[in-house]
Amino acid sequence: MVETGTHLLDAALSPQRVFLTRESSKENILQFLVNELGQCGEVDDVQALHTAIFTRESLMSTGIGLGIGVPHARISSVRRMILAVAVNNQPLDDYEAIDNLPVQIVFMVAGRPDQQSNYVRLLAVLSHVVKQESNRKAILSASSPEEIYQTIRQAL
Amino acid sequence: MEFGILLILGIGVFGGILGAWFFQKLRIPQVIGYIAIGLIIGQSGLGIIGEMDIPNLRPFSYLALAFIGFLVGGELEGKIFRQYGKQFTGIMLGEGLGAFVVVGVGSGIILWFITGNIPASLAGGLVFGAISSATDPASTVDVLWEYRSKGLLTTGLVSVVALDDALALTLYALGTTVAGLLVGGEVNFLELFRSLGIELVGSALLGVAAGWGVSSLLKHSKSSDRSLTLLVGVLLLIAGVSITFHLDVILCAMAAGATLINHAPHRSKPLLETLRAFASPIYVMFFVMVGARLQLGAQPIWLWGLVAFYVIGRTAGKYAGTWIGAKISNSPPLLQKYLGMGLFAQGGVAVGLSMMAGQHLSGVEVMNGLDLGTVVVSAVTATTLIVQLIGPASVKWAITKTGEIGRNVTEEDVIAELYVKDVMNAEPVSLQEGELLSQVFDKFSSHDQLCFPVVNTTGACVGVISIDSLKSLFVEQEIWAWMLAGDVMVPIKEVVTPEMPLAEAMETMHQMEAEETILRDPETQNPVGIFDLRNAKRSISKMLLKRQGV
Repeated sequence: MVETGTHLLDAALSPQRVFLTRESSKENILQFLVNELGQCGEVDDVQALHTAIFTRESLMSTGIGLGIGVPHARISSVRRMILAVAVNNQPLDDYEAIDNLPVQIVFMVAGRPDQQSNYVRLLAVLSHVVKQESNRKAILSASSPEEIYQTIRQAL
Repeated sequence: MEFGILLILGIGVFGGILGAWFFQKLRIPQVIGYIAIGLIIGQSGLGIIGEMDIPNLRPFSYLALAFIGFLVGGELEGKIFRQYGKQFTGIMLGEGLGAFVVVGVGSGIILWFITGNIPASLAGGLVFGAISSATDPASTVDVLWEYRSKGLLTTGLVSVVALDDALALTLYALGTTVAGLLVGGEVNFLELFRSLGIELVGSALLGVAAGWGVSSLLKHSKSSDRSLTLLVGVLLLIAGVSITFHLDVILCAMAAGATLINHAPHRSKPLLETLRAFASPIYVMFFVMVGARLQLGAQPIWLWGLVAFYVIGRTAGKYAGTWIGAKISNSPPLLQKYLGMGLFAQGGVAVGLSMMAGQHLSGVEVMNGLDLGTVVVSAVTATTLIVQLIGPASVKWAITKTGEIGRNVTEEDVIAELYVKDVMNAEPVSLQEGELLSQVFDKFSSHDQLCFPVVNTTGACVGVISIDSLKSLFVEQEIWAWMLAGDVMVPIKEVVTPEMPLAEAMETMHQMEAEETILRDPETQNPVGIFDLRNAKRSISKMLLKRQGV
C-alpha cells in the first residue's frame, strides 16, 4: 500500500536523525549518515548499508541539483524505511551533482528491497519539498536539528 | 494348473499393456498388442485363459462393450448428424451391403463348389454375408482415441461403426431366416423379426431412458467422483438389463451415450473424458479376451480358402460399398477415398452372431461330420483374428493420410507436453542497473516485454522491473532525471525454472498471483528468459490451433 507523504516522513524521520554537520567531503558526510542510521536500531548490517550507499553513488551521483543530495539504498538488513538528514556548515564541492552545484543538504534514505512503492514515494516527496526555494532557505537558515525537522514537516 | 479369476485378470491387463507397449514401439496400434497377448495366453497359446474361464470372464466383456458403446455414443453429436446424416447413412448402407453382397455371393459359391449342396451353400452365403457387414466399433475407436484423431474422417468413422451394428443385426435376421427356410429347418419368420424389432427398439429405448436419467441425475451431482460412480453404476445396469432381456448391450449403451452428449453437452464432455481413462483396463481385458478365445485348431484346407476369400471379399466389399455409398450421397471426396479403409475391423458383434449361427445351423451337414454351424464359427473366428490385425492398422493409415492424427487435443494436453523453456522469451532485453528511469520508460515503450531483468556490470541479474511496478512512477516524473533502474527494481522471486513443466509453472504463478518472472542461469545469474503468462497463453493457443489443423 502506498502511504501519504506526511505519513511516510513521520514514519521514516525523527528529530534525532537530523544533524548539523561540519564535514569536508561527500565521502565523509555519507559515512557520517551511514553511521548514524546504523546506530538507530533499524539496521542489522551497517557494512551492507555502507556498501549499498557507495555502490549506488558509483553508478551515478545522487546530487539531484539545487544543492541537494539524496543518497539512498534498499537492502534486506534494514528493518523498515528510515531517513536521516544532514545540513552541512559548508557546501560540498565534490558531490558531482547533476547541475554541478555544490551540495549542502543531504537526505539519506534506507529501505527494504520489497518497499519499492513507498520508497519511490518518499524520494519524490523529498524532491518536491526541496525544489521550493523558500523551503531550502528555511532549512539552511535553521539553527537546530529540531528546527530543520519542523521546517521539513511543515513544508509537506 | 487352475488360475483364479483375479490372477487371470491381472495377467491379462498387465500382459496386454506390455503387448501394447511393444506394438506401439513398432508404430502398430495398441489394440493389436492386446489381442496378440490374448492369443499367447489364450486357448490357441499357453492356455492360461482356458475354455472354462471364458464364460466366467464374459461379464467383463459385456461391461467393456457397455463402456465402449457409451463412449462411442458420446461422440455422436446431433449437429454432426444434421450436417452429414445423409452422407453417413449412405456410406453405412453402402459398406454394409457391399460386404454382404460380395462375401455372401462369394462364400456361397465356394461352399457350393466344395459341398455341392445348394441350399446349405446359399444359407451359408447369407449368414457369412450378414456377419461380414458388421464393423467392430471397439478396436476402430480405440485407434482413433490412441492417436487423438479429429476431423471429418474420424467423425465419419465413429458414426458409421456406431450405426452399422444395427444393419448387421437386421441382415443377420433376414439371412438366418432365409437360410433356415432354405435348409428346411424350423424358422418362424414373424417370430424372428419380432424378436429383432424388440432387440433394436428395446435397446434404443432403454439407452435413451438411461441417458436421459444420467443427464438429469448429473445436475444434482456436485463432485466428479460421484458423477463417475453414478455413470459406472448406470453402465453396469445397462449391461445387466440388456443381457437379462436379450437386448444388444453395445446399441443400448450407444443410445445412452448419444442421449447424454446431446442432452447435456457441457456437463458430459469432461465426464466422458474421465470415464475413458477409467475404462482403460477394462478395454485392455476385453481385447485380450478377444484374442484368448480365438481357437485356431486343425481345420480342413478348404476352410482356409474360405477364410482367405472372406477377408479379401469383405475388405473389397466394404471399400467399394463405401465408395459407392459416398458417391451416391454426395459425400466429400475425403470420405469417398479413405473412409472405407477404416471399416475393416471385425469383433464382438460378428463373433456373437457366428455363435448364434452356430446354434441355428448346427443341424445342417455340409460334409462328412462337418455341419454348417461349425463352419461359420470356425471361419468367423479365423477371419476375426486376421481382420483384427489388419483393421486397426488400416484405420491408422487412413487417419494418417488425411492428417487427422493428433488433432483431438485440448489446451491441457498441449500444456502437459510443454516446459517453461518452450514458451519463455529466450532473448530478453535487459536494463542496466545504472540506466536512468527516463531510459527505462523508453525501453518499455519500444519493446513488447511486460518486464525487464535488471543486470549489473557483470551481466548478472539483480532485480526486475515490471510494468506493474512502473505504474507508481508515472506520477513521480520529477525523479525520472536522477533515479536509476537499480533504484526501482524489485527482487526476483525465483520460483520457476526453464526445465519446469509448464503446467506446474503456471500453477505456481497463479498461486503467487504473478503474471511474469525472470529466469536466471543458476551459475552466472545472467537472465536466460522471461516467463510471462500472457505470452505463454498466446504460444499455447498457437500450438493448439496448429495441432488441431485449424
